[in-house]
Amino acid sequence: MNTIHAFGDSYIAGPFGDFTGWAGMLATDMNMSLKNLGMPGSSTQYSFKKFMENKHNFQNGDIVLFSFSAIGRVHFEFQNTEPTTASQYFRISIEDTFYEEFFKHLVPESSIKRIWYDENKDHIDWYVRNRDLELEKINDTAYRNLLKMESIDNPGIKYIVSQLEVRSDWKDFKTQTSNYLEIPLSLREISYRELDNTRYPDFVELIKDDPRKNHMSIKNLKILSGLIQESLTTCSTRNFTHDQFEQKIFRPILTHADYDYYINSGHLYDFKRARERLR
Amino acid sequence: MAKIYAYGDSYIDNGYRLCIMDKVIEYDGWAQILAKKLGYQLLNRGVSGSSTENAMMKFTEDIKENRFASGDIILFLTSTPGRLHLEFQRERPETASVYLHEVDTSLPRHAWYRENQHYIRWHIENFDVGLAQLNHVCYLHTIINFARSRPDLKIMLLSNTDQDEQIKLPELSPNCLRVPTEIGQISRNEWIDCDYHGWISFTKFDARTNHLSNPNLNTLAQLVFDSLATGSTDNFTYDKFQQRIFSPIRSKEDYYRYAEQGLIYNKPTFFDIK
Repeated sequence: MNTIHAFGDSYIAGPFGDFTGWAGMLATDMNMSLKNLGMPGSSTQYSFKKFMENKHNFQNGDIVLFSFSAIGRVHFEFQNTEPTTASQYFRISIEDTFYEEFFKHLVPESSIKRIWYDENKDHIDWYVRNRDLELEKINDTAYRNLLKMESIDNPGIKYIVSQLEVRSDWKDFKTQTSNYLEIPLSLREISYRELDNTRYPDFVELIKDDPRKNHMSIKNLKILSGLIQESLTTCSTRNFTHDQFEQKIFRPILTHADYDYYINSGHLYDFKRARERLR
Repeated sequence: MAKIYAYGDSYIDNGYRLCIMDKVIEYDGWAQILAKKLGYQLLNRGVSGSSTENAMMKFTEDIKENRFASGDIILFLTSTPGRLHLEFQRERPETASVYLHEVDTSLPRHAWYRENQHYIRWHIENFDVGLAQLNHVCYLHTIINFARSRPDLKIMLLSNTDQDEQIKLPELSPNCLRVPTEIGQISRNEWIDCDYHGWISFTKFDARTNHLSNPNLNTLAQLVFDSLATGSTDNFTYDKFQQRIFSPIRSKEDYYRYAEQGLIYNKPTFFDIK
């Protein structure tokens, strides 16, 4: 049985207990096993290191899913062992006050993540203010180039690249291969379009976490998986447009009844932790 | 006139240029020697002490500005991973390696370091060098991919570190060549029973240009010239270069003796700079 190898952040991570994200749906539909090394909150740098550590395991017939995170997440030695902090520290450092409260709510003071943050907060803030984001964009592009070159060297393996942000600031080097496909839509945009006149902080205010897995409704996870299967057949990602995905689905979840509605309508999985937070 | 674009650190930057009265004296680095052999104009983006990150940013800028014309040559030399790159290094790329060590903070040119020393030290201690190494691998893949898209250019990859030798790179297109000898090793092979610290203990600077003796600057330029003509780097072997030619310089007399022998340039202001 061939394997799907997945790398990235919360937009690809899973499974979640008995429930699966889109990578798992794709594996089930294609009768493949799934090795998902996606880690919520992690950076592209971390994902890329995992990719390099694991690429010797890829076999002909396998599929590699690589989901690029947002540019700007922090990566130091510490994030090799605590990758989820890459996004957390970054968001706090850019004075996302909503997120700081969120972080303190989620991460207990005794946690190594919290201790390292509290000890190094000033340094992380300094780094975020002084780093060169232009270089990070170049690095992001360089990772894509390596993936593309890997696809050329390994024609028996298919590489599917997805991304939180679609970047248009780089020349395409025009080396096209049929086994390297880049999804031309921003996964974050698909996710945000699911909210119906609702800001993301309002949507997650009570549950203190995104109740969606991979930040998408179950229906859109299935659509995403289906479109990728089509793309694998046609060797093209022209089938990807925003209007293929369901939009304006969610309003703030304020009660159990709201939550039940979204579960019964097939948009959300029923998670005990989310229910507990609604109390 | 066709151009050579050069990227990297002190192993490729422009040699010494001195203006005395109305006379300009140039002490060519190997890229300049090569440019003269080919009759090309040299645009040298190399900066002594800078990082591979800086080299990649300059290279990217030249791509985005569409500066490369058909027939141009690109020389890209990678440095040791782990040099500092923050926004400040864009304006002061030479500090990438300088600030890995303690500097004289009383000097005005180190004001930024003085103000941020505490944070810079933390950054260096917590930096993931393994990631920097991977990033360099990705830069090389990017350049190789670029070479495939621009068969009208010639691109040569060099390195001053043995770390790149272990990197498995994709198949190179005919217009992309990788020098198999490490330039840093050629440099080290020139010493007799000393290391870098012993070599510069009196002069405080490397008295050589691009960390190579003059004969080896010429040899390197000639080998690159030949490789560009033949499309092969099989001609690069360590035995083509002079070895064990320098004992540590312990006096001005030692320095002038090496200059008279033609092993280094005699730079009149060298000791004043020190």
